[in-house]
Amino acid sequence: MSRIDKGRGLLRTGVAVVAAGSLGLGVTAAGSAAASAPAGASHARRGHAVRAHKVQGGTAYFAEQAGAPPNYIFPFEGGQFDSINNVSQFQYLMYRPLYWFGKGTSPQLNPALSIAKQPVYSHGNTVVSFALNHYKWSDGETVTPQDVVFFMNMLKVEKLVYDAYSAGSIPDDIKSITTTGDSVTIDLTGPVNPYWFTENELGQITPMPMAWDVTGTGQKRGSASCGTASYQAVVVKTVSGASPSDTPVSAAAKSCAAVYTFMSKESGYDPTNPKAPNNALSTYATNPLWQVVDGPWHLASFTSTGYVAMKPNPDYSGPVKPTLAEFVELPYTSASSEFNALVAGKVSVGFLPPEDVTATAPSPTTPGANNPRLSNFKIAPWYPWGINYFPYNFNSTGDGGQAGKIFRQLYFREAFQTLVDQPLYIKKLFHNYAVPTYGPVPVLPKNSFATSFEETNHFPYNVKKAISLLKTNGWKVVPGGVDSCQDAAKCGVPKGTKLQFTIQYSVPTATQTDEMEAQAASWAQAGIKVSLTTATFNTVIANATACATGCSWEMEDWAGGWTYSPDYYPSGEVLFKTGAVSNYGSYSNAENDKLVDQTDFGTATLAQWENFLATNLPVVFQPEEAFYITEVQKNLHGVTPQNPLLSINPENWYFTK
Amino acid sequence: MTLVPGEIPINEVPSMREGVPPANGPGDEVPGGGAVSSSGGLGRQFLRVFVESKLAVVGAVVIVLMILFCFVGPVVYHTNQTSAQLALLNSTQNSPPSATNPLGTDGSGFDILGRVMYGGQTSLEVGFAAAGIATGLGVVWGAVAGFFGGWVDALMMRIVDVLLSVPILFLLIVLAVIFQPSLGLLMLVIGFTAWLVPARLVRGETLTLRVREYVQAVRVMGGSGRRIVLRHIIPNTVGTIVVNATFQVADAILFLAALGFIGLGVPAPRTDWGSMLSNGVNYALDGYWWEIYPVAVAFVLVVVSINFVGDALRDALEIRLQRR
Repeated sequence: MSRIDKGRGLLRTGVAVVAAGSLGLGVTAAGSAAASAPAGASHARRGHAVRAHKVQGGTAYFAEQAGAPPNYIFPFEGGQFDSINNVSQFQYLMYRPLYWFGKGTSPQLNPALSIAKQPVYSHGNTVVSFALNHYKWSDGETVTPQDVVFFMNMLKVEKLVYDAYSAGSIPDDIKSITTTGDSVTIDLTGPVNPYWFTENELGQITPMPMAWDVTGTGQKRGSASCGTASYQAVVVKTVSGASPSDTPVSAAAKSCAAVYTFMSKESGYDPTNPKAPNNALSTYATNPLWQVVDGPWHLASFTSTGYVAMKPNPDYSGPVKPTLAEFVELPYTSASSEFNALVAGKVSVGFLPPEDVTATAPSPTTPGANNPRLSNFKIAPWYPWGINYFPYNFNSTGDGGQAGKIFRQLYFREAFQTLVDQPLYIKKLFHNYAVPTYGPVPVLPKNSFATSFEETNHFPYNVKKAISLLKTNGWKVVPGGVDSCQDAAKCGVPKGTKLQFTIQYSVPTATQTDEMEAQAASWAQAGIKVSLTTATFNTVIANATACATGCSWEMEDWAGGWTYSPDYYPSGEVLFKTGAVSNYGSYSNAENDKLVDQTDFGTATLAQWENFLATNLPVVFQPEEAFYITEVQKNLHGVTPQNPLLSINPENWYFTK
Repeated sequence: MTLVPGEIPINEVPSMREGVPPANGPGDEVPGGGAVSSSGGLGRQFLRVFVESKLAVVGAVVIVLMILFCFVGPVVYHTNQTSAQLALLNSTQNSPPSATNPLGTDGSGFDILGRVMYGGQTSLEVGFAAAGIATGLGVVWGAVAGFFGGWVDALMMRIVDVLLSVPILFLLIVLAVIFQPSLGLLMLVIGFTAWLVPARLVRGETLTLRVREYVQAVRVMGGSGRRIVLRHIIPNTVGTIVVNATFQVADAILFLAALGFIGLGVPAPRTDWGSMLSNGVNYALDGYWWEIYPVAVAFVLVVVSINFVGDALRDALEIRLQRR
């Protein structure tokens, strides 16, 4: 399960859809069905090929990740709501980002499907400007440059809660924003790497409608004056350092803070009472605020358990209008219940849990034979543009107050990583539907960013080496027991400190439990006692938040690591830079920060940075398994190729009969 | 033993030793109403009634065999049941029964036969320990409430009523979520949620016992309430206690299985039968029957056997069913 995935979905051009439709005419329907009927209701026609015809309408049922229903609708979320389930596969269907990423199976920018035209850089890469394509909100208003400024105004005031913020990047590197006609011009504080700025800075922006510029129910659109204010009119007093803060100073800034608070509450999160339960879920489909959309879908039904029904937005002004009459996302509490539904034909697009794979894949991207119970489905592994890991909490007060200090010892991280046998798990648990993660840059889809150094396993599974590392650094190693520090000077922690930790993890599949138990057993061989606890995905990501002053969690594994979205250029400032909101473990390394800055604001490549992190181990790297081993009902088309940023585009989908 | 003035040691008053049959030895007085025509000692009568239930005998044998299977079996049949890493390295996952793995392997590569033994240890340990806790607590609670009566009884039994109104499985889930499950904790949690039934049963028995002559006699002789409860009330409810305790064992195993099935069982590397069933269900649609049936059979056998034994114990301890 991936994390912080504001996935920009694959959206075909109109031409492509026509072509797909034409191709569809030649499709042999092994299992045709009424378009609205799920797979199990189909009646296979046998004996001869049947020419399939595209059907207008129908309902497609998409299986959500097990135990991870969407729970946040406002497209300006903090880290605790930052997930594929909330963003890429929910919000983006209704609220389109400024730039759409994902073209076929490549994570690159897709200009044809973006709200804005390609940005132009000038003045030594210190000024960037772009014009908007003609998009409309469903309330009849045009998507204007001021809608972009609205988002930026809110970001300026609330950047410290925004999931993709890191110090020095947007909005810190923006001096001013001006709008002229349908164009936006951004004046930067200094030169930037244009590729990085487009991918990781502009990629974060989601235009917001003036209907959201309110601080109370029933107010007139734009009445709060955050959306209508100029960027320069929003003034905040910023305090940097260990406890950063932004205090609204100008009237516009105060308005933006009020709008943020109101909209967050409407989405179910009260910034003034963060622990309060989300009681707004049941209002999502009826709250008029959320019905103002510029995407191809609007919400028709939403339950607190995660059942989502969407209907086409008749006013959608993008290039591909939905063919389906309805798109439904179905929640499941476990992978096995999803698999049962799949077998029963109640799902149009679902996933095959790794534990139910019956034939090993020849290679990660080449599927093996499908599970014989799913003969009415096509199998297609879906890999994210991401890496898999779970964070150490470098500020943890666990383990008698010493956990964070232990994690800061590189020798410990090396020993810990040495006991993670990624090739074994890939072969035995994921049946080859996975690739190893040895560094911060994804290796799939194949790309030019990942260096051969980063693709090399520098910490192959080796129990003796792990034990040796610990002994050399002052630990008394008790295989199967609990190690204790014997030499404080070498250990880096007080004498007598034990190596015993707790990992809380989410359980999207039984395979995840198998992997965690295998890892725990592996660590135990070197006397590192790891206790495992489980929680829901939403609980784990809510717990795994950075805490500057220390908190007790030690390691949190939401079972999916990170998909590089909206930081599409995998330069790491969102994940690993000191103080970044999504740097959940509070990793801090001056060399890393310097290399990130060189990449983002200079012309350096990623190589030096990624090679450094591959051996500095800011997190525990794990195999990057297929996000979904996707199962697509055979008479449903347009689902593949799948966007590596994990967005879904049901407006491309159609049934044939 | 310290006696208060006027108190007579209870053991020196033969008629006060309730629950202990008259010795009928030379010089002993024969109780009024004539000599008891007994066909044997109490133990023998008990045994005779017990063995009349063939199912109970089979059940007792099964229980003994399962205890041997779970606790002695691993000594004879060595398998790795603690390291998932080694299981992955050295085994094939989900392999069907073979000469190497007579009951196949599970999703982690663990040998199922060894796993049933290993999981059975947990289930039986928790079952017996939780039953012991529940019975002990319930008996004391019920006896005290019943003996003292009045507002003490009312208060104590209202507490029981309130707790009985809470769905036990729900409560167990909440407790298992709040506290990180461990073997000891599960014993305590299940034990401390299962004592309500024995408390009510013993309280009912006590209400009838406390007005018996021998209890009155102890009172008259200055016996303390504690002494009456511990030496006279509780020993005379032993039949009810023993029978209920057997059912408590079965119930505790079932509760543990339920918790394990929903993922709140003992933490790895330990396992229990419920967790094994839960894991096996993941593969139900894949036809890996060996991950479900063996553990299910072991589980059902033990629970049914305990219930058979419990039924027979009830009959054996029921004086009216004993031949005279």
